[in-house]
Amino acid sequence: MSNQMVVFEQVYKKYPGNITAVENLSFNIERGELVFLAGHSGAGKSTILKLIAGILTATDGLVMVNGIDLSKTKQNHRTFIRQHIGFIFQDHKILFDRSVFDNVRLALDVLGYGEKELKNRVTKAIASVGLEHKIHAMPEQLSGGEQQRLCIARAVVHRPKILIADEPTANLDRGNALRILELFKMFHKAGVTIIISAHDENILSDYGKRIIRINQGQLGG
Amino acid sequence: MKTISMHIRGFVLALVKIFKSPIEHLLNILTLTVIIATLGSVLVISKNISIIQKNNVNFPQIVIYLKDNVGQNGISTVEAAINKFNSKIIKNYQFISKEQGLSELQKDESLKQIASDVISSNNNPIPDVLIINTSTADNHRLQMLAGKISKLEMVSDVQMDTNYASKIENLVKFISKISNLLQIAFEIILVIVIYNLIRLQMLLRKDEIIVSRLIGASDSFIMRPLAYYAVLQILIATAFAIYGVNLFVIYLNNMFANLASLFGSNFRLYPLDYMQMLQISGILIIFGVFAVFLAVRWVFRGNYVA
Repeated sequence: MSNQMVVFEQVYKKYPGNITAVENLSFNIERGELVFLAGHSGAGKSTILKLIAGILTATDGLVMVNGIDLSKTKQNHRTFIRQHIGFIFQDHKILFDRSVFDNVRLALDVLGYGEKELKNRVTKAIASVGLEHKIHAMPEQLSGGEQQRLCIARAVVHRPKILIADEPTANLDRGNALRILELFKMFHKAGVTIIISAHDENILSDYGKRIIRINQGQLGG
Repeated sequence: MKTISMHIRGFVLALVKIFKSPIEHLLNILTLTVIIATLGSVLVISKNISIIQKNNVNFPQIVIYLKDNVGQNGISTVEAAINKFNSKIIKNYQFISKEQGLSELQKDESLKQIASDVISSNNNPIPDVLIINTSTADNHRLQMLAGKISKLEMVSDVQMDTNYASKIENLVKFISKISNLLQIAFEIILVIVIYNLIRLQMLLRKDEIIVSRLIGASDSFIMRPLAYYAVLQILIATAFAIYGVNLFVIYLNNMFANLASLFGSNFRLYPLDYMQMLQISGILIIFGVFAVFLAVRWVFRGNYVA
């Protein structure tokens, strides 16, 4: 098995209206690595993360994740691949009509877990992000930091091989941001490949991890 | 086994969704009920038009003149042949013997003299006659039937008022065309309104659809509970609508009963039968599921979710 978890080779992504988001981009991420994707807003970080998660398909080039060429896989297969990825969305994508527990359980419902195993795993995931006291709370009762932790719990509950976080520290004060990053460090120690995007490099430099800088959809900056 | 449990899960989720906010769903179901009841009423009207038409329109008669001295055996042979013909277009038939014919002639003041002459001559020239009452206005089929009868050995002549038959045929066709057009128009309206209602409901659940998709849910995982959700609402609304329409028909029948008896009529409206109820439910369910499929695809497309 290759040691590369993510391979980007001369990847292009254009949105309708010929808007180029990613241009001739190449990089690799190793298995078990924690990588930061840095760049200003609109640099193309979210697009790159969505390409890795198979949410978007590349216009051209090779995108390989865990040995699978995503540019050649069919839609159904990409959906299946997403079941092994944990994604923390920039806009949280929390369902406000259900409790913390029900938000987190959705990831396991998709995988068809039995009720007993599901309850066990969801409770553990919520506890791992420190939200056990809010397990039955509704999302609007949570603070910004707590909502972010809820997203992390949902992303890790199915024990993914890759954890992708799109601007997880945006809109959080420094204290909360550091607590969130500590959580990622904890999952990284457990062997999960983690890719985190952020526009504020100050907070990333303390970690001594590789930073891939993106500028206008290309490496650099 | 897994598929069954996924279906059960989808059904339970749909039920939970409805019972979590009953007022909101009751309003949706009532809206659907009103629309389906409107179509149900059109179907009731259409069905009753066709029944009234069948019972009250005087469809053409075919008059069969038998040959002289065919005897009882000959008459029985002709009757047996008629019984073998298409029973769908033959309502009934009656035999008028030559003696009956003469007696009818005697009752007519203007023909009384002729009848007396016939009686005194001891030679009754009036033929035995069979009159077929038909139950269709289809001129072509009636002509075919008349043609077949005329080929029978004991038959001397067959007469049918083709002009009258054509007029009746045109009238019946016109009425059934209007009734069919009305039905189709309401069905189209129903389909559009239900599609739009379901699409709007799916849009309200857009976040849930997108999040499920983004965390790796398959099409069937996303659509199953939504389809059950739509089907449940359609089923409840259809049941309410059909029950309401049939209850209204009973109410109208009670109201008409006294009025109809004054005119010596036993007029009554017929409600929707089980077959029609099944048809309405079936079509709406199929369409509901299709609407869910389209609406979910539309959500995926609108949000660039591969």
